[in-house]
Amino acid sequence: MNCLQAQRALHSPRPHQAAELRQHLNECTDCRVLAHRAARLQRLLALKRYEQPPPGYFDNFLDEFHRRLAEATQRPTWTERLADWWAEVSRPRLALAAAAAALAVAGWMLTVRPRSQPAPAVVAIRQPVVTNLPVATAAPAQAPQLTVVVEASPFPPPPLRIDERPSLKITPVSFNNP
Amino acid sequence: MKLTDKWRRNVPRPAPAAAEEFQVDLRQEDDEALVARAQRGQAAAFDVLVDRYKQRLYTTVYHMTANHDDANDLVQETFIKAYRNLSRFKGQSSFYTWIYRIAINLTLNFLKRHRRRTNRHTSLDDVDAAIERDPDYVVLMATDTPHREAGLHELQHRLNEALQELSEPHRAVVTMHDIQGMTHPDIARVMRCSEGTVRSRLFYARQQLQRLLGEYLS
Repeated sequence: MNCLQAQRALHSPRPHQAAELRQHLNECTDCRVLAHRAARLQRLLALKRYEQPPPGYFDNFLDEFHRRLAEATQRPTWTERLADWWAEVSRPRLALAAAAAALAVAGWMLTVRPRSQPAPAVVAIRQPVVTNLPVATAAPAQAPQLTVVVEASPFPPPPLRIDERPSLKITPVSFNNP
Repeated sequence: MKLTDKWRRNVPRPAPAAAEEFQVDLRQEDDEALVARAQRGQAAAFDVLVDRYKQRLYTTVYHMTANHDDANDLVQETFIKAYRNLSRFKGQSSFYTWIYRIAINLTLNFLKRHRRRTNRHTSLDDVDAAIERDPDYVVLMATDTPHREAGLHELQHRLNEALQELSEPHRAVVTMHDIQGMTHPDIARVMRCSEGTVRSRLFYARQQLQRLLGEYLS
């Protein structure tokens, strides 16, 4: 056992260390002095047990306990306080709050929703609609014929660029050389 | 017939003379039986437990707070909390360990809350005159050291000041071990830590106390 182990063992000796500690203290003067100080400290601290509360304190302890327990029992717990609060606000105030909340939600939906809707599609009819079928077989022969022409866009859709390598390089455009 | 049987058969509450006898019987029962009775609603059984542990709990809390009023409040709160949570006590530890743990946790929380209040005043209990006959005290005062002149009052204040310098967990361990004489395993169970931690805290706490109380130890 070295000095550090001995000093630790002085304060809280384990049963299996007793013989080793005794042997070390016989051989080491420094640790013997420390052992003397440790024992003295323990005796000094033990004197604190003579501090006693005022006379009669423990005799009245149980009565005070009963009084405080009765107070604590009468005092509502936080769950009881929450239940009381709920009962108090539940009917008129809760209905008012719910109506206000519903109005607020409705107002928000009316003001925000139209902006978020997509713009309606615009369809241009460039020529009169022409069909080969008569609109009504029973109609007279002079009835105008309607034809639907779906014209292909003159601008083809841009090619997909998913497969291309991304690049931050911007090709300069020159306006001087057409 | 056992008293429990009487209660189960709804026998009317005994007259005052018999009540005294009843109380005496309860005092002879162990903690486990008293807890079982208290859990069945027999408040007198809990009163016996309060009587049994009030002094030990008060001593521990007092030495940790160095204030009589705080100690009183905390110990009362401990018993009230224990009484209200008695249905949750399943007997996994002894009642003594359980209620001690409540007291220590309440005290540690209290001390943490008031840590910043640096000038928290101490309100020390009187020292019993029996200390004058304690051999250790006689030796201490007979030694030719400066504290001999200081006297008992000064010694008490120095001891309390030194203890208050320790951190709360270290103070708790020193109080339980060195003042109350509890064993390492008991302290470990109360503080929910290992025995090694208790030994380590005791070692460092005493190192610090030796520095603070050096003049009394030479």
